[in-house]
Amino acid sequence: MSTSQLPEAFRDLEPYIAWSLSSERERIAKRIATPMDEVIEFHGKISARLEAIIIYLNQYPYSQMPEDGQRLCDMALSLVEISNLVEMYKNPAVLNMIEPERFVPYE
Amino acid sequence: MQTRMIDKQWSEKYPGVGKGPVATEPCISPEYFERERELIFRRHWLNVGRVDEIPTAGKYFVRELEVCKVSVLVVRGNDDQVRAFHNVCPHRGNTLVLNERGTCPGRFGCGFHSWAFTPEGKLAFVPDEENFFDLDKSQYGLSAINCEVWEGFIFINLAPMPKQSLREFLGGVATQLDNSPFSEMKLLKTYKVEENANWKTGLDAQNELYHLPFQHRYTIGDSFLLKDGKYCRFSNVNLYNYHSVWSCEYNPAHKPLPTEALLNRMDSALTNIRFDKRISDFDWYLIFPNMALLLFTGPSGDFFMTYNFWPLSVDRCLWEMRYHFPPAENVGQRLAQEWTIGQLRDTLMEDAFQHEKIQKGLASRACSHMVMQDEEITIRHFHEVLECEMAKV
Ligand code: FES
Ligand SMILES: [Fe+2]
Repeated sequence: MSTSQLPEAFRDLEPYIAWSLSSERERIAKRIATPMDEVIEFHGKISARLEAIIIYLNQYPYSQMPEDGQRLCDMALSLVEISNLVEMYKNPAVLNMIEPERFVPYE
Repeated sequence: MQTRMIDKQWSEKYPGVGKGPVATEPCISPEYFERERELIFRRHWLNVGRVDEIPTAGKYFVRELEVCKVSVLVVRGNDDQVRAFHNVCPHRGNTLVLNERGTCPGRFGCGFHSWAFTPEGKLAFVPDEENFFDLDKSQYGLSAINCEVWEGFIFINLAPMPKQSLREFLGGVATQLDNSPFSEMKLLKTYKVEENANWKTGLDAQNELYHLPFQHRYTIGDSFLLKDGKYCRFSNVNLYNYHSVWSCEYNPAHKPLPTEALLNRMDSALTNIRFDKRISDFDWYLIFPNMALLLFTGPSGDFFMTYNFWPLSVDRCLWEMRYHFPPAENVGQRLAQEWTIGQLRDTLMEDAFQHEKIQKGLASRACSHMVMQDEEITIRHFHEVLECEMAKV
Protein backbone atom coordinates (compact mmCIF):
# COMPACT_ATOMS: atom_id res chain seq x y z
CA MET A 1 0.00 0.00 0.00
CA SER A 2 1.52 3.25 -1.11
CA THR A 3 1.44 6.40 0.98
CA SER A 4 1.64 8.67 -2.03
CA GLN A 5 -0.26 11.90 -1.71
CA LEU A 6 -0.33 12.58 -5.43
CA PRO A 7 -2.29 10.93 -8.25
CA GLU A 8 -0.73 7.70 -9.51
CA ALA A 9 0.76 9.18 -12.68
CA PHE A 10 2.60 11.91 -10.76
CA ARG A 11 4.29 9.87 -8.02
CA ASP A 12 7.68 10.97 -9.32
CA LEU A 13 6.87 14.46 -7.98
CA GLU A 14 6.45 13.15 -4.44
CA PRO A 15 9.86 14.51 -3.32
CA TYR A 16 8.48 18.02 -3.92
CA ILE A 17 5.31 17.57 -1.86
CA ALA A 18 6.44 20.35 0.51
CA TRP A 19 5.61 22.75 -2.34
CA SER A 20 1.98 21.66 -2.30
CA LEU A 21 0.64 24.66 -0.40
CA SER A 22 -2.95 25.81 -0.55
CA SER A 23 -2.55 29.55 0.04
CA GLU A 24 -0.53 32.23 -1.68
CA ARG A 25 0.83 33.38 1.69
CA GLU A 26 2.32 29.92 2.27
CA ARG A 27 3.69 29.73 -1.27
CA ILE A 28 5.40 33.10 -0.91
CA ALA A 29 6.88 32.08 2.45
CA LYS A 30 8.19 28.85 0.95
CA ARG A 31 9.68 30.72 -2.01
CA ILE A 32 11.50 33.11 0.29
CA ALA A 33 12.73 30.37 2.62
CA THR A 34 14.09 28.13 -0.15
CA PRO A 35 17.64 28.53 -1.50
CA MET A 36 17.71 29.52 -5.17
CA ASP A 37 19.34 26.25 -6.37
CA GLU A 38 16.48 24.26 -4.83
CA VAL A 39 13.96 26.61 -6.44
CA ILE A 40 15.63 26.01 -9.80
CA GLU A 41 15.53 22.24 -9.29
CA PHE A 42 11.81 22.35 -8.40
CA HIS A 43 11.13 24.56 -11.40
CA GLY A 44 12.93 22.16 -13.75
CA LYS A 45 11.11 19.08 -12.49
CA ILE A 46 7.59 20.51 -12.36
CA SER A 47 7.67 22.62 -15.48
CA ALA A 48 8.68 19.53 -17.45
CA ARG A 49 5.43 17.92 -16.23
CA LEU A 50 3.21 21.00 -16.31
CA GLU A 51 1.46 20.17 -19.56
CA ALA A 52 0.69 16.64 -18.34
CA ILE A 53 -0.52 18.03 -14.99
CA ILE A 54 -2.94 20.38 -16.70
CA ILE A 55 -4.26 17.71 -19.09
CA TYR A 56 -4.76 15.35 -16.15
CA LEU A 57 -6.43 17.89 -13.85
CA ASN A 58 -8.61 19.40 -16.57
CA GLN A 59 -10.70 16.24 -16.50
CA TYR A 60 -12.22 17.60 -13.26
CA PRO A 61 -14.44 20.64 -13.00
CA TYR A 62 -12.39 23.16 -11.03
CA SER A 63 -14.69 23.09 -8.01
CA GLN A 64 -14.80 19.27 -7.78
CA MET A 65 -11.18 18.27 -7.49
CA PRO A 66 -10.30 15.07 -5.59
CA GLU A 67 -7.85 15.53 -2.72
CA ASP A 68 -4.79 14.13 -4.47
CA GLY A 69 -5.60 16.25 -7.53
CA GLN A 70 -5.91 19.33 -5.35
CA ARG A 71 -2.45 18.67 -3.90
CA LEU A 72 -1.06 18.41 -7.42
CA CYS A 73 -2.84 21.62 -8.36
CA ASP A 74 -1.38 23.41 -5.32
CA MET A 75 2.06 22.22 -6.37
CA ALA A 76 1.49 23.66 -9.85
CA LEU A 77 0.44 26.93 -8.22
CA SER A 78 3.82 26.96 -6.47
CA LEU A 79 5.49 26.58 -9.85
CA VAL A 80 3.54 29.60 -11.05
CA GLU A 81 4.70 31.45 -7.92
CA ILE A 82 8.40 30.84 -8.62
CA SER A 83 8.47 30.66 -12.43
CA ASN A 84 9.39 34.30 -12.94
CA LEU A 85 12.26 34.10 -10.46
CA VAL A 86 13.87 31.41 -12.53
CA GLU A 87 12.82 32.47 -16.02
CA MET A 88 13.19 36.23 -15.73
CA TYR A 89 14.48 37.76 -12.52
CA LYS A 90 17.22 35.13 -12.02
CA ASN A 91 16.98 36.17 -8.43
CA PRO A 92 14.90 35.18 -5.38
CA ALA A 93 12.88 38.37 -5.84
CA VAL A 94 12.61 41.36 -8.11
CA LEU A 95 15.13 44.04 -7.26
CA ASN A 96 13.67 47.10 -5.60
CA MET A 97 10.34 45.75 -4.49
CA ILE A 98 8.61 46.41 -1.21
CA GLU A 99 9.20 43.85 1.58
CA PRO A 100 6.90 40.89 0.75
CA GLU A 101 5.53 40.67 4.30
CA ARG A 102 4.05 44.16 3.89
CA PHE A 103 2.21 43.26 0.68
CA VAL A 104 -0.52 41.04 2.02
CA PRO A 105 -2.66 38.70 -0.12
CA TYR A 106 -6.27 37.84 0.75
CA GLU A 107 -7.91 35.00 -1.20
CA MET B 1 -7.17 51.02 -32.42
CA GLN B 2 -3.81 51.97 -33.79
CA THR B 3 -1.42 53.76 -31.48
CA ARG B 4 -0.10 56.92 -33.05
CA MET B 5 3.49 57.22 -31.98
CA ILE B 6 3.52 60.97 -32.14
CA ASP B 7 4.56 63.51 -29.58
CA LYS B 8 2.36 65.96 -27.69
CA GLN B 9 -0.89 64.63 -29.14
CA TRP B 10 -2.89 64.70 -25.89
CA SER B 11 -2.31 68.33 -25.09
CA GLU B 12 -3.44 68.99 -28.64
CA LYS B 13 -6.63 67.00 -27.99
CA TYR B 14 -7.15 68.77 -24.64
CA PRO B 15 -5.62 72.24 -25.00
CA GLY B 16 -7.40 73.38 -21.81
CA VAL B 17 -5.08 71.29 -19.63
CA GLY B 18 -1.98 73.16 -18.46
CA LYS B 19 1.59 72.44 -19.45
CA GLY B 20 3.32 74.19 -16.57
CA PRO B 21 4.74 72.87 -13.31
CA VAL B 22 2.56 70.99 -10.79
CA ALA B 23 3.08 71.87 -7.11
CA THR B 24 4.42 69.18 -4.76
CA GLU B 25 2.94 70.86 -1.68
CA PRO B 26 -0.40 68.98 -1.85
CA CYS B 27 1.49 65.69 -1.39
CA ILE B 28 3.41 66.80 1.69
CA SER B 29 1.49 69.54 3.47
CA PRO B 30 -0.29 68.46 6.71
CA GLU B 31 -2.51 71.52 6.40
CA TYR B 32 -3.56 70.56 2.86
CA PHE B 33 -4.27 67.05 4.08
CA GLU B 34 -6.59 68.36 6.81
CA ARG B 35 -8.58 70.27 4.19
CA GLU B 36 -8.74 67.20 1.92
CA ARG B 37 -10.56 65.31 4.67
CA GLU B 38 -13.45 67.76 4.46
CA LEU B 39 -13.40 69.03 0.89
CA ILE B 40 -12.56 65.80 -0.94
CA PHE B 41 -13.40 62.77 1.16
CA ARG B 42 -16.50 64.06 2.91
CA ARG B 43 -18.01 65.49 -0.28
CA HIS B 44 -17.48 63.02 -3.09
CA TRP B 45 -18.71 59.58 -3.96
CA LEU B 46 -16.22 56.97 -2.74
CA ASN B 47 -16.06 53.38 -3.93
CA VAL B 48 -16.05 51.00 -0.96
CA GLY B 49 -16.50 47.64 -2.65
CA ARG B 50 -18.63 45.54 -4.97
CA VAL B 51 -22.00 43.88 -4.54
CA ASP B 52 -20.50 40.42 -5.02
CA GLU B 53 -18.82 40.81 -1.61
CA ILE B 54 -22.34 40.71 -0.12
CA PRO B 55 -24.26 38.46 -2.52
CA THR B 56 -27.19 37.51 -0.26
CA ALA B 57 -29.50 39.10 2.33
CA GLY B 58 -27.80 39.85 5.65
CA LYS B 59 -24.25 39.78 4.28
CA TYR B 60 -22.21 42.77 5.31
CA PHE B 61 -18.74 44.27 5.34
CA VAL B 62 -17.21 47.11 7.34
CA ARG B 63 -14.78 49.67 5.92
CA GLU B 64 -12.79 51.95 8.18
CA LEU B 65 -12.49 55.32 6.43
CA GLU B 66 -9.77 56.66 8.65
CA VAL B 67 -9.51 59.82 6.59
CA CYS B 68 -13.00 60.80 7.74
CA LYS B 69 -12.75 58.96 11.05
CA VAL B 70 -15.82 57.01 10.00
CA SER B 71 -16.56 53.31 10.19
CA VAL B 72 -18.97 52.30 7.42
CA LEU B 73 -21.25 49.26 7.64
CA VAL B 74 -22.40 48.11 4.19
CA VAL B 75 -25.17 45.51 4.33
CA ARG B 76 -27.65 43.83 2.02
CA GLY B 77 -31.12 43.94 3.56
CA ASN B 78 -33.80 41.27 3.44
CA ASP B 79 -35.37 43.36 0.66
CA ASP B 80 -32.12 42.81 -1.33
CA GLN B 81 -31.22 46.52 -1.11
CA VAL B 82 -27.61 47.45 -0.42
CA ARG B 83 -27.37 50.15 2.26
CA ALA B 84 -24.60 51.91 4.15
CA PHE B 85 -24.75 53.03 7.78
CA HIS B 86 -22.48 54.55 10.32
CA ASN B 87 -21.23 51.55 12.23
CA VAL B 88 -22.31 53.21 15.45
CA CYS B 89 -25.02 52.35 17.93
CA PRO B 90 -27.40 55.31 18.36
CA HIS B 91 -27.96 54.55 22.06
CA ARG B 92 -24.63 55.83 23.38
CA GLY B 93 -22.30 55.65 20.45
CA ASN B 94 -20.65 52.25 20.81
CA THR B 95 -19.10 50.69 17.69
CA LEU B 96 -21.78 48.26 16.55
CA VAL B 97 -20.16 45.57 14.37
CA LEU B 98 -16.66 44.44 15.26
CA ASN B 99 -16.05 41.93 12.44
CA GLU B 100 -14.69 43.06 9.09
CA ARG B 101 -17.28 40.98 7.23
CA GLY B 102 -19.93 38.38 7.87
CA THR B 103 -23.62 37.55 7.85
CA CYS B 104 -26.03 39.30 10.16
CA PRO B 105 -27.69 36.64 12.36
CA GLY B 106 -31.13 38.24 12.04
CA ARG B 107 -30.17 41.31 14.09
CA PHE B 108 -27.03 43.35 14.66
CA GLY B 109 -26.69 43.37 18.43
CA CYS B 110 -24.73 46.09 20.21
CA GLY B 111 -22.15 44.75 22.65
CA PHE B 112 -22.85 47.46 25.25
CA HIS B 113 -26.58 47.23 26.15
CA SER B 114 -27.82 44.83 23.45
CA TRP B 115 -29.89 47.20 21.37
CA ALA B 116 -30.69 45.20 18.24
CA PHE B 117 -30.97 46.42 14.64
CA THR B 118 -32.35 44.82 11.49
CA PRO B 119 -30.16 44.48 8.37
CA GLU B 120 -32.27 47.37 7.00
CA GLY B 121 -31.04 49.55 9.86
CA LYS B 122 -34.22 49.72 11.98
CA LEU B 123 -34.06 49.55 15.75
CA ALA B 124 -35.88 46.31 16.53
CA PHE B 125 -35.37 45.73 20.23
CA VAL B 126 -34.35 47.67 23.33
CA PRO B 127 -33.79 45.75 26.58
CA ASP B 128 -35.78 47.22 29.49
CA GLU B 129 -37.51 49.57 27.09
CA GLU B 130 -40.23 50.53 29.62
CA ASN B 131 -37.65 52.30 31.75
CA PHE B 132 -36.88 54.89 29.04
CA PHE B 133 -38.73 58.19 28.75
CA ASP B 134 -41.08 58.12 25.75
CA LEU B 135 -38.53 56.36 23.59
CA ASP B 136 -39.66 56.44 19.95
CA LYS B 137 -37.80 53.47 18.47
CA SER B 138 -38.45 54.65 14.91
CA GLN B 139 -36.16 57.62 15.62
CA TYR B 140 -33.21 55.47 16.66
CA GLY B 141 -32.39 53.36 13.65
CA LEU B 142 -28.82 53.27 12.39
CA SER B 143 -27.62 56.52 10.91
CA ALA B 144 -27.75 56.11 7.14
CA ILE B 145 -24.95 57.09 4.77
CA ASN B 146 -25.80 57.88 1.14
CA CYS B 147 -25.14 54.75 -0.83
CA GLU B 148 -25.58 54.13 -4.55
CA VAL B 149 -24.56 51.28 -6.81
CA TRP B 150 -23.37 51.51 -10.40
CA GLU B 151 -22.68 48.30 -12.33
CA GLY B 152 -22.17 46.48 -9.02
CA PHE B 153 -19.69 49.03 -7.65
CA ILE B 154 -20.85 50.32 -4.27
CA PHE B 155 -20.20 54.00 -3.58
CA ILE B 156 -20.93 56.01 -0.46
CA ASN B 157 -21.08 59.76 0.04
CA LEU B 158 -20.67 61.32 3.49
CA ALA B 159 -22.14 64.68 2.49
CA PRO B 160 -25.53 65.21 4.19
CA MET B 161 -26.97 66.12 0.76
CA PRO B 162 -24.72 65.02 -2.14
CA LYS B 163 -24.81 67.66 -4.84
CA GLN B 164 -25.00 65.03 -7.57
CA SER B 165 -26.26 61.49 -7.91
CA LEU B 166 -23.57 58.85 -8.38
CA ARG B 167 -24.63 58.52 -12.01
CA GLU B 168 -24.22 62.25 -12.62
CA PHE B 169 -20.88 62.23 -10.86
CA LEU B 170 -19.56 59.33 -12.94
CA GLY B 171 -20.71 61.08 -16.11
CA GLY B 172 -18.74 59.95 -19.18
CA VAL B 173 -17.23 56.97 -17.37
CA ALA B 174 -20.69 55.54 -16.75
CA THR B 175 -21.72 56.21 -20.34
CA GLN B 176 -18.59 54.48 -21.57
CA LEU B 177 -18.97 51.37 -19.37
CA ASP B 178 -22.71 50.91 -18.78
CA ASN B 179 -23.86 47.30 -19.20
CA SER B 180 -20.35 45.88 -19.13
CA PRO B 181 -20.07 42.29 -17.85
CA PHE B 182 -18.50 43.22 -14.48
CA SER B 183 -20.88 40.97 -12.58
CA GLU B 184 -19.81 37.90 -14.57
CA MET B 185 -16.38 38.21 -12.99
CA LYS B 186 -15.65 37.35 -9.39
CA LEU B 187 -13.26 38.74 -6.82
CA LEU B 188 -10.36 36.28 -6.88
CA LYS B 189 -7.62 38.08 -5.01
CA THR B 190 -7.05 41.17 -2.91
CA TYR B 191 -3.73 42.68 -1.90
CA LYS B 192 -3.35 45.40 0.69
CA VAL B 193 -0.27 47.37 1.49
CA GLU B 194 0.16 50.18 3.97
CA GLU B 195 2.53 52.64 2.35
CA ASN B 196 4.58 55.47 3.76
CA ALA B 197 3.31 57.75 1.03
CA ASN B 198 0.64 60.35 0.49
CA TRP B 199 -2.38 58.79 -1.24
CA LYS B 200 -1.80 60.96 -4.33
CA THR B 201 1.86 60.01 -4.57
CA GLY B 202 0.77 56.40 -5.04
CA LEU B 203 -2.13 57.22 -7.32
CA ASP B 204 -0.07 59.55 -9.54
CA ALA B 205 2.66 56.95 -9.95
CA GLN B 206 0.06 54.47 -11.23
CA ASN B 207 -1.55 57.01 -13.52
CA GLU B 208 0.99 56.85 -16.37
CA LEU B 209 3.12 54.49 -18.44
CA TYR B 210 6.13 56.72 -18.94
CA HIS B 211 7.91 54.85 -16.14
CA LEU B 212 7.06 51.40 -17.41
CA PRO B 213 10.10 50.51 -19.54
CA PHE B 214 12.40 51.89 -16.85
CA GLN B 215 11.11 51.12 -13.38
CA HIS B 216 9.59 47.82 -14.55
CA ARG B 217 12.44 46.71 -16.80
CA TYR B 218 12.77 43.47 -14.82
CA THR B 219 9.06 42.62 -14.87
CA ILE B 220 6.68 43.92 -17.56
CA GLY B 221 8.94 46.37 -19.40
CA ASP B 222 8.15 44.93 -22.85
CA SER B 223 4.44 44.24 -22.38
CA PHE B 224 3.13 47.38 -24.04
CA LEU B 225 3.72 48.99 -27.39
CA LEU B 226 6.69 51.34 -27.33
CA LYS B 227 7.72 54.19 -29.60
CA ASP B 228 10.99 53.22 -31.30
CA GLY B 229 10.99 50.21 -28.94
CA LYS B 230 11.75 52.60 -26.11
CA TYR B 231 8.96 54.86 -24.93
CA CYS B 232 5.32 54.24 -24.06
CA ARG B 233 2.56 55.98 -25.95
CA PHE B 234 -1.11 55.81 -25.05
CA SER B 235 -3.45 54.74 -27.83
CA ASN B 236 -6.15 57.01 -26.42
CA VAL B 237 -6.86 59.50 -23.65
CA ASN B 238 -10.29 60.74 -22.57
CA LEU B 239 -10.70 63.40 -19.93
CA TYR B 240 -14.07 63.71 -18.20
CA ASN B 241 -15.34 66.29 -15.70
CA TYR B 242 -13.73 64.60 -12.73
CA HIS B 243 -12.30 61.41 -14.14
CA SER B 244 -10.05 60.23 -16.93
CA VAL B 245 -9.04 57.15 -18.89
CA TRP B 246 -5.91 56.27 -20.78
CA SER B 247 -5.49 53.19 -22.90
CA CYS B 248 -2.69 51.29 -24.52
CA GLU B 249 -2.02 48.35 -26.76
CA TYR B 250 -0.07 45.24 -25.89
CA ASN B 251 3.26 44.81 -27.58
CA PRO B 252 2.91 42.14 -30.29
CA ALA B 253 6.67 41.61 -30.10
CA HIS B 254 6.47 40.68 -26.40
CA LYS B 255 8.34 37.39 -25.90
CA PRO B 256 6.38 35.18 -23.51
CA LEU B 257 8.37 33.41 -20.81
CA PRO B 258 8.35 29.58 -20.97
CA THR B 259 5.70 29.06 -18.25
CA GLU B 260 3.63 31.97 -19.56
CA ALA B 261 3.68 30.54 -23.09
CA LEU B 262 2.72 27.07 -21.91
CA LEU B 263 -0.12 28.35 -19.73
CA ASN B 264 -1.50 30.49 -22.54
CA ARG B 265 -1.40 27.52 -24.89
CA MET B 266 -3.06 25.23 -22.34
CA ASP B 267 -5.76 27.64 -21.25
CA SER B 268 -8.72 25.77 -22.72
CA ALA B 269 -11.53 27.54 -20.91
CA LEU B 270 -14.69 27.93 -22.92
CA THR B 271 -15.82 31.09 -21.18
CA ASN B 272 -14.81 34.06 -23.16
CA ILE B 273 -16.23 37.08 -21.39
CA ARG B 274 -15.26 40.30 -23.11
CA PHE B 275 -15.69 43.96 -22.31
CA ASP B 276 -17.30 45.13 -25.56
CA LYS B 277 -16.65 48.71 -24.54
CA ARG B 278 -12.95 48.36 -23.98
CA ILE B 279 -11.14 51.17 -25.74
CA SER B 280 -7.88 49.31 -26.24
CA ASP B 281 -6.08 46.21 -24.85
CA PHE B 282 -5.68 47.91 -21.48
CA ASP B 283 -7.80 50.78 -20.17
CA TRP B 284 -6.93 52.61 -16.96
CA TYR B 285 -9.75 54.73 -15.52
CA LEU B 286 -9.22 57.15 -12.69
CA ILE B 287 -12.47 57.62 -10.81
CA PHE B 288 -12.04 60.73 -8.71
CA PRO B 289 -10.81 60.97 -6.10
CA ASN B 290 -9.09 57.74 -5.08
CA MET B 291 -10.19 54.83 -7.26
CA ALA B 292 -8.75 53.29 -10.40
CA LEU B 293 -10.60 50.79 -12.57
CA LEU B 294 -8.40 48.73 -14.88
CA LEU B 295 -9.81 46.70 -17.77
CA PHE B 296 -7.51 44.11 -19.30
CA THR B 297 -7.89 41.89 -22.27
CA GLY B 298 -6.62 38.42 -21.43
CA PRO B 299 -5.80 35.37 -23.55
CA SER B 300 -9.01 33.59 -22.51
CA GLY B 301 -11.41 36.33 -21.57
CA ASP B 302 -11.05 39.76 -20.08
CA PHE B 303 -10.60 40.67 -16.45
CA PHE B 304 -10.58 43.80 -14.34
CA MET B 305 -8.90 45.26 -11.30
CA THR B 306 -9.66 48.06 -8.90
CA TYR B 307 -7.31 50.18 -6.82
CA ASN B 308 -8.44 52.21 -3.84
CA PHE B 309 -5.94 54.55 -2.23
CA TRP B 310 -7.15 55.35 1.30
CA PRO B 311 -5.40 58.22 3.05
CA LEU B 312 -4.28 57.46 6.60
CA SER B 313 -2.27 60.62 7.21
CA VAL B 314 -0.41 63.12 5.07
CA ASP B 315 2.37 60.61 4.43
CA ARG B 316 0.64 57.26 4.86
CA CYS B 317 -2.00 55.46 2.85
CA LEU B 318 -3.59 52.07 2.44
CA TRP B 319 -3.47 50.78 -1.13
CA GLU B 320 -6.06 48.09 -1.87
CA MET B 321 -5.84 46.09 -5.10
CA ARG B 322 -8.60 43.71 -6.17
CA TYR B 323 -8.54 41.26 -9.08
CA HIS B 324 -11.79 40.07 -10.65
CA PHE B 325 -11.76 37.17 -13.12
CA PRO B 326 -14.34 34.93 -14.74
CA PRO B 327 -14.70 31.95 -12.35
CA ALA B 328 -12.15 29.30 -13.39
CA GLU B 329 -13.65 26.34 -15.23
CA ASN B 330 -10.60 24.14 -14.94
CA VAL B 331 -7.08 24.02 -13.58
CA GLY B 332 -5.53 25.22 -16.83
CA GLN B 333 -7.51 28.43 -16.64
CA ARG B 334 -6.88 28.86 -12.91
CA LEU B 335 -3.11 28.53 -13.36
CA ALA B 336 -3.13 31.02 -16.23
CA GLN B 337 -5.04 33.47 -14.02
CA GLU B 338 -2.59 32.95 -11.16
CA TRP B 339 0.35 33.58 -13.48
CA THR B 340 -1.21 36.86 -14.62
CA ILE B 341 -1.97 37.89 -11.03
CA GLY B 342 1.58 37.08 -9.91
CA GLN B 343 3.22 38.92 -12.78
CA LEU B 344 1.19 42.03 -12.01
CA ARG B 345 1.70 41.60 -8.28
CA ASP B 346 5.47 41.72 -8.62
CA THR B 347 5.13 44.86 -10.71
CA LEU B 348 2.88 46.43 -8.08
CA MET B 349 5.42 45.51 -5.41
CA GLU B 350 7.98 47.46 -7.41
CA ASP B 351 5.50 50.32 -7.51
CA ALA B 352 4.88 50.24 -3.75
CA PHE B 353 8.64 50.42 -3.18
CA GLN B 354 8.85 53.39 -5.53
CA HIS B 355 5.90 55.24 -3.96
CA GLU B 356 7.76 55.44 -0.65
CA LYS B 357 10.97 56.60 -2.30
CA ILE B 358 9.06 59.34 -4.13
CA GLN B 359 7.36 60.47 -0.93
CA LYS B 360 10.70 60.67 0.83
CA GLY B 361 12.08 62.80 -1.98
CA LEU B 362 9.06 65.09 -2.07
CA ALA B 363 9.03 65.50 1.71
CA SER B 364 12.60 66.77 1.63
CA ARG B 365 11.27 69.81 -0.24
CA ALA B 366 14.19 69.57 -2.66
CA CYS B 367 11.71 70.32 -5.46
CA SER B 368 8.79 72.70 -5.16
CA HIS B 369 7.08 71.35 -8.26
CA MET B 370 6.98 68.44 -10.71
CA VAL B 371 7.51 68.72 -14.47
CA MET B 372 5.25 66.59 -16.64
CA GLN B 373 5.24 65.54 -20.26
CA ASP B 374 2.38 64.77 -22.61
CA GLU B 375 1.98 61.14 -21.48
CA GLU B 376 1.45 62.40 -17.93
CA ILE B 377 -1.59 64.47 -18.92
CA THR B 378 -4.06 62.47 -16.82
CA ILE B 379 -2.01 63.20 -13.68
CA ARG B 380 -2.14 66.87 -14.52
CA HIS B 381 -5.86 66.65 -15.12
CA PHE B 382 -6.34 64.95 -11.74
CA HIS B 383 -4.38 67.67 -9.94
CA GLU B 384 -6.38 70.37 -11.72
CA VAL B 385 -9.67 68.73 -10.68
CA LEU B 386 -8.36 68.39 -7.13
CA GLU B 387 -7.32 72.04 -6.97
CA CYS B 388 -10.69 73.07 -8.28
CA GLU B 389 -12.55 71.00 -5.66
CA MET B 390 -10.26 72.28 -2.90
CA ALA B 391 -11.08 75.86 -3.86
CA LYS B 392 -14.83 75.27 -3.33
CA VAL B 393 -15.85 76.24 0.15
S1 FES C 1 -24.42 51.83 23.20
FE1 FES C 1 -25.32 50.31 22.01
S2 FES C 1 -26.80 49.50 23.29
FE2 FES C 1 -25.95 51.05 24.49
FE1 LIG D 1 4.31 51.03 -12.15
